[in-house]
Amino acid sequence: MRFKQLVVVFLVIVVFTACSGSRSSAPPTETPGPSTPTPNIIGTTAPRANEATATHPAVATPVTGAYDIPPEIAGHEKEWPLANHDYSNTRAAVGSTINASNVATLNVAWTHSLDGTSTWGAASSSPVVSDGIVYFQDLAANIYAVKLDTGDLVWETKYDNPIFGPSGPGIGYGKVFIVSRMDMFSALDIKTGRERWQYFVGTEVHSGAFQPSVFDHRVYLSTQVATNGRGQVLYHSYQGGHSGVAIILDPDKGHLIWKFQTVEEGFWGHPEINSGAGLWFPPAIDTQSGISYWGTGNPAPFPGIKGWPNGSSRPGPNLYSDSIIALDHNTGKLLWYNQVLPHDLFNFDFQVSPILATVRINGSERGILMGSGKGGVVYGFDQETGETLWRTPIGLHQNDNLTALPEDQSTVWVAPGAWGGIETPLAYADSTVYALTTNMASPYNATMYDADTPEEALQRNVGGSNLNNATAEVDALDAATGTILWTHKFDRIALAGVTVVNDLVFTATLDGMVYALSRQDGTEVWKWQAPGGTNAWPAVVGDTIIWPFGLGDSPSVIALSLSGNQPTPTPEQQRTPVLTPAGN
Amino acid sequence: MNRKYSYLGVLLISFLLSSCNTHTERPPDADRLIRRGQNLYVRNCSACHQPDGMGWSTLFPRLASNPIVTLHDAEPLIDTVTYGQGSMPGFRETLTSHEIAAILSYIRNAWGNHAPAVSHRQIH
Repeated sequence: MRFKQLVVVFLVIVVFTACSGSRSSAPPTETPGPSTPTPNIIGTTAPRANEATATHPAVATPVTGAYDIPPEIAGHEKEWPLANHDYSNTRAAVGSTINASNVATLNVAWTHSLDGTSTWGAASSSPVVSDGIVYFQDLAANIYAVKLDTGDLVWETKYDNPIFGPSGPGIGYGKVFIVSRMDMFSALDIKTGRERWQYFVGTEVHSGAFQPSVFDHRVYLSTQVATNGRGQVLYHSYQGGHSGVAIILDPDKGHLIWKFQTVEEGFWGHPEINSGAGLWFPPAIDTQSGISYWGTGNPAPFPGIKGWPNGSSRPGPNLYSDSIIALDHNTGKLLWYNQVLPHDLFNFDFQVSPILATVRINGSERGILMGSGKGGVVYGFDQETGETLWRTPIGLHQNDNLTALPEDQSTVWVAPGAWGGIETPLAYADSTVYALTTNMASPYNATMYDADTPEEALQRNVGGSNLNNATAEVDALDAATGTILWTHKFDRIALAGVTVVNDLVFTATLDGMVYALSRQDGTEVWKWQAPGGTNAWPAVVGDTIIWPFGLGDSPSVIALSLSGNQPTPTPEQQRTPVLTPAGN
Repeated sequence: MNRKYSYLGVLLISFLLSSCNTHTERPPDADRLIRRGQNLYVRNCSACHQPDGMGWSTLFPRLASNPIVTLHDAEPLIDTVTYGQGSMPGFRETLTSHEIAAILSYIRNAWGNHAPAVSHRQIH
């Protein structure tokens, strides 16, 4: 028995020694330094390459005729049946009763929580509204239909597949069309939410997509430059050989009608490395000619990776990146393109939805397109030929005209940066175009510090950018000339697009402060703090604004109405204590 | 008596073993883990929490000098990164347990923070 006691005591000592050793042997850990490279701003050394000179004439003759508008969209202009309200992408409400005289009486009418999240929070697009039903999607691909007047749930369909965004629903011909997984589109019954068909893109062109549009018995979808990864629910950016692709499907069965790849065949010489020209936002569609107009994203890698500095893996202009392109309705053939930035080094997507408008220029009516993107320049184009009519840089520009970066480990800070300049949708009304811009610089290096992959280069660019150094502004431009009419500045970043409602233009900063500005001069008319942040944009119907707030502890869609009578929960009331910032 | 001593011994061993749980164990190569975590942090976290760990507004919590980040028991932090919270996604599907441990070890020892590194065995 004594032996047993000795064994027990021995074991106690061993265990105690092991435990105390594991604690006491830990020396103070060396604190790694911050990863942000030291700023080393380099002055302008060369002009930007031949901007706006790559316009090409039509290569095919468009067919004109009568085209069908889905019943959920035709005659519903007083609702919000498309991502940007209409096929011209104006984001201008029709028939709303909200204006500068009563905006201060907006109050919460209802709130609906968003269950699913992804990298960019719970929401990054717009609801759509038709026949009194609001349809919206969270960033786990879950889709909800609720009543506009009460917020009561009509149906919901859960996928719980994290997606990249900016995804959201499109409606038409009795169905709701969504991105249901990074590599899959789905059509749901508009009355029940029951899935009717699926269309897989994973083995065909890779990657996720934007908010669909429906027009003339066609569903307009697209892919970005990301692909599904492990578990089929994740994404990887800028994999070699990936391109934006416009995909046009039959809404009844999901059959492919046509598609258009935005990167030239051959991927500029290195399909194992190069990618780009993603399609991030819905096209403008001319309902008379059927022609669709799309803005395309940047080429990659940017600026380069180990062994391939300054985009040397992709020599030449890198068509059709950073371009506006016009596609024929029936065939998808390229009618014309205008590349605004050949051989882009800096993630300057030309990605937001183009706006189609008729504007009086020099005394005559003219069809124009207005486009923009992360390069922070707004363009006006001739609708028929794509010719550049005007270009107006807005917001902060710094080193963005460099055509090469030093091939060492030095850092060049470039603005617009990773979150700007114009990241989210434009709006248009009465010959004025409105743009929300982020002013922030991001770190760049010729190889992104010897990045092994284009994705790693992207991550170092984004990860080295600091939101605390960002501001934002709304600019109003004359659509005929591009002249800046007024600017309203914010002291923080904003990624909520702009939306026109009568004499007001709405936007919101990332922390969820909603602003109504006067369209006349940009002065602040009203503001309201939402209980969460937002990187999404609203739909407006009658006296109600429906706005997703997908950031924070309680992501939700909130309806603000002139007849709303619900109290607004404060961020503090919704916030849980875990990981609350120290000192706040 | 002898049996009582035996029981006491077993009880003591059990207690010590339980208190010697892996959540206080220092990973054998903590410094390397932290260095790896720095790279993973830039790729996965700093877009919101910022390169300097200062966070942004009240939406993206500050990690530098945040006492919750440096709690001796890393369990709440592990839960947040693994399963998400609010609009922050969980990383259990996108990162391995080794990668999550590396990121946690980094943020617990960057920007003036000092706390024990996290082992991949603590990630569940």
